[in-house]
Amino acid sequence: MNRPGGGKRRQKALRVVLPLIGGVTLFILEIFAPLLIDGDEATPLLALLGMLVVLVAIAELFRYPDLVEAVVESLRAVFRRLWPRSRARAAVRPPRVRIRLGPVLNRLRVLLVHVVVVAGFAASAWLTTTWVVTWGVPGWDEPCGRPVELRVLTSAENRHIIRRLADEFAVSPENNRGCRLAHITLSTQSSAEAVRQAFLREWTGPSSVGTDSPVATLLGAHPDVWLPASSAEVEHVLAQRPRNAELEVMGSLAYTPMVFAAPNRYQERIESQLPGAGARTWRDLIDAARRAGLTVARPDPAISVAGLLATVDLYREIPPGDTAALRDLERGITSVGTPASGLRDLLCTIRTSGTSTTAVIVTEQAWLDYERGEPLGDGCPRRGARPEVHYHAFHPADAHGADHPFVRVTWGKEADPRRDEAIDRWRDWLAERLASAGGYRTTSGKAVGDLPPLVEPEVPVRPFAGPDLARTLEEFPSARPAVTVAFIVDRSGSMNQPTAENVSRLDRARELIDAALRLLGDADSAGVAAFPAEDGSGGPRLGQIQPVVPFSGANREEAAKRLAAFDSRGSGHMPLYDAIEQAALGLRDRGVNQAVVVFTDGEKSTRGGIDAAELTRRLKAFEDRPRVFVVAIGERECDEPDIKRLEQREIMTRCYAVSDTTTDQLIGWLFADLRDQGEGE
Amino acid sequence: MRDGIRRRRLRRLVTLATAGALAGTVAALVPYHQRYGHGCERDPNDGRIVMLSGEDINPGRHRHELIKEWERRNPGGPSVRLIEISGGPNSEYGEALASQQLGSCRYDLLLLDIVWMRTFIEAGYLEPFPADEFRPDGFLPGPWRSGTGDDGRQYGIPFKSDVGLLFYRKDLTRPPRTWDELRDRTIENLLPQARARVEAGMVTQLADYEGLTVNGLEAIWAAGGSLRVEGRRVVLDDAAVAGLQRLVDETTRTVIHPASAEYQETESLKAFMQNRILTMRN
Repeated sequence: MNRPGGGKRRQKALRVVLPLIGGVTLFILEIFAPLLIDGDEATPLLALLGMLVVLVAIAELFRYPDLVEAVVESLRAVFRRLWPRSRARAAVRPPRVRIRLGPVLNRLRVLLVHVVVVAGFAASAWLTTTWVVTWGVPGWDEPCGRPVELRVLTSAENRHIIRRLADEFAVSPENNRGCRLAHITLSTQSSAEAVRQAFLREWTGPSSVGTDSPVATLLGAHPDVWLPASSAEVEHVLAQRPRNAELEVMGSLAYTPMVFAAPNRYQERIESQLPGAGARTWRDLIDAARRAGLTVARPDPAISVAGLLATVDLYREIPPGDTAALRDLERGITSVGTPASGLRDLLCTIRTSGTSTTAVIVTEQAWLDYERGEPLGDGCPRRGARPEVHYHAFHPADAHGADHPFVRVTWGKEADPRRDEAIDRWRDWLAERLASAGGYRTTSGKAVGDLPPLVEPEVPVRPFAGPDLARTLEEFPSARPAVTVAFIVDRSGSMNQPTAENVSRLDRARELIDAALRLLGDADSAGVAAFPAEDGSGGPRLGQIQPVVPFSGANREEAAKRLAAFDSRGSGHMPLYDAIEQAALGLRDRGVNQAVVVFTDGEKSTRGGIDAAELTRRLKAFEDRPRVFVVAIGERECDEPDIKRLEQREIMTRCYAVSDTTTDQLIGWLFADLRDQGEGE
Repeated sequence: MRDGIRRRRLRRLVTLATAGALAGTVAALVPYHQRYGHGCERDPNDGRIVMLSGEDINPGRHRHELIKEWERRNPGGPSVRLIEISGGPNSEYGEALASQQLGSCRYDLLLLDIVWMRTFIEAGYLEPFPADEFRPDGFLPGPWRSGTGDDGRQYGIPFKSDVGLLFYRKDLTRPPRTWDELRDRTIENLLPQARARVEAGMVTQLADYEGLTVNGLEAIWAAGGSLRVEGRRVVLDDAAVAGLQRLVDETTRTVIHPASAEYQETESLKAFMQNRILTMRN
């Protein structure tokens, strides 16, 4: 038989206990929710519901003062049992005045109910509004809209690994929850300076500035995500306000330190040349390697971010403004026969040559790729899994590293919640995989993944700083003298004859010029012209393929494009010596360290024009006489009489015979000579 | 009396609930608007038409000439700013697509390749031209149809039409008429004892972009095959499979220059000009 009082109490208890149980359950669910469903969206909702239910339970509790008192009393009993001493003290305490709890609790309850109502409706409205603006976009009710297009920019050196991870991400569950979320379009830029300039110009190329041309060139798509090698690049960009773009660094993805890698068999010799105990610096290692008979190479900072970062490390110990010390250092690490090149080209040269007496300053990750026989760029053949020459990586005490930040870029107000979500997921995906997939380290410098035992398990993390990068970019052009070059190519009839490689002389010249253009930095100026011109009328003149202009960004591409398109249909009157004079005239006021580089077989195909004596006389009239180099492609090469006479008259500094060597070597020598002039200045 | 109290309580609760809901909505909308406030704030004094296109690599730069000509014929009218994007068709497509998805006001006109028209129209990324602004009889029917939406309105006007051609080196070969002829001529020239040694018979565009699609389709059609799309599936007949297989085989056998797998238009043109390759598809 039920007592009426007991039933009421049970009812009261249920009204309190049930919501409490509900609230606690929801809290527990919230903890495990991320394991069951897409946690990001559901967790806050569950947490909020749980909190509200518990608040309702507490409000219900306040309706019954006797219940509250019972709870308080039982708590007090527990307290007394736990701390018996307080019981003794309580015994001597005077009896307390009892306050009637009823009205106080009732007010509290009303207040709580109000809070619950306001908070509940506010939260529901917040969630609903967020959901509607995120997913209530046009087309949201279609089965699957187009994936969000993410434009991702990375350095050329990381293209391979980012491409692979982007392909894996495309089909991953993280990118396919019901519908495909994002599609990634990858673009690359090799020069940190080109990227900085582009951010300052709203991503347009240099040719669009300062002209009234109706045409502007974009340096590829506006990036939504930028994956530079180092946060120093980001700092460098942010030093000046990017135009109409907001950059947000979303943490670092992986780390790789700069290393000094030398052939294994030189390791002991280098060690023996190092100063006693203590930390080895870059300077110690470079000096030791050179004493051990090695040349030291580094990727070209103008076309390689790794090369630029290496240079930042090398310049750090030299006081700012000490150009003599910088030049001394640069002399020690630029070597004839190993033309400066991109990070992977440099390692590819070593891989394909099979033997090496070159030590290189590269990222640890690139060294690992080399050691493990990974692809070193599209043009580099893979010779089995293991390299013929193994390299040992030294970790200089003053080495810094690339910390690979993830940067979200927002152009003006071109943002969208779906884009942001896609970016977040792509970031998480990369952060989880980049270190182990690509031979990088974790952001704390630990080696992860399947690595050879020679890899140090942990290195200190020392990222590069923006101001150091800025200083290097500023000082590098003066450390490595800039050049102003007019390349002129003979396209007379005899240049159509085949060379030993069974290509026409003209095609060979084109290949050499193409290689030469790739070695020019942003500080250099260059132009390409052909003689004779296409149209013979109007007196002797050069056929300008590209006039002498600062050789960066769009001009570089432009020259390469025009070079590929020009042909041998030259006509008109322009013998060799006239062409040299015209090229020298075209160099006037165009820049420092001027030179004319002629690609010719030297065979006289047009008569007349000035003779060597006259050319000497005319060139002497120049205030700053350009040097003349000849790349001889004919049968007799440098012994061709017209070329010989240039030497006799001391017009020509040097003649290179193409059959002697490979393209890279020849152009390497040419550039060593071109830049040499500046050293003596 | 009791009813009065209850009503008053209820009214208070409704007021509180409304206030809460309002506060929640505002709290969600303010940051949203700050970050994602779409809508074009155009400068009314800016009378320029901004046009996005890929790079004009043709020697004559006829797009620039056309713009100049149009401005000359329309004095006092809006000027045209052409934004050319480097990096090939993938960059171009990525830029156009992302801009439209984000509600960008950057471009007024897009020069899109015909293969992208359907995507852009169906996703609602394009505005229709006013009816009767252009007449279809002035255009090739195929390209015209590609700009027509399902609603019959015209979202794109053909700008130029182009075809793939086979170029050949006059100094090395006669123009081949069939695949087999090209293969035979290449193989005899690849032999060590050949009079005119060549590196490959053909260079083309097989990089991972639309050029590969075009080359793949041409390989299918050349073999007499066909391809059709059924929902989300692409169905090939046996001849089509054989055509694609031939494309792969010839690339491994250097009848097609293997580097074509990395080439787009510019690279293949450069390779054709710098190397001894009999023909170029471009």
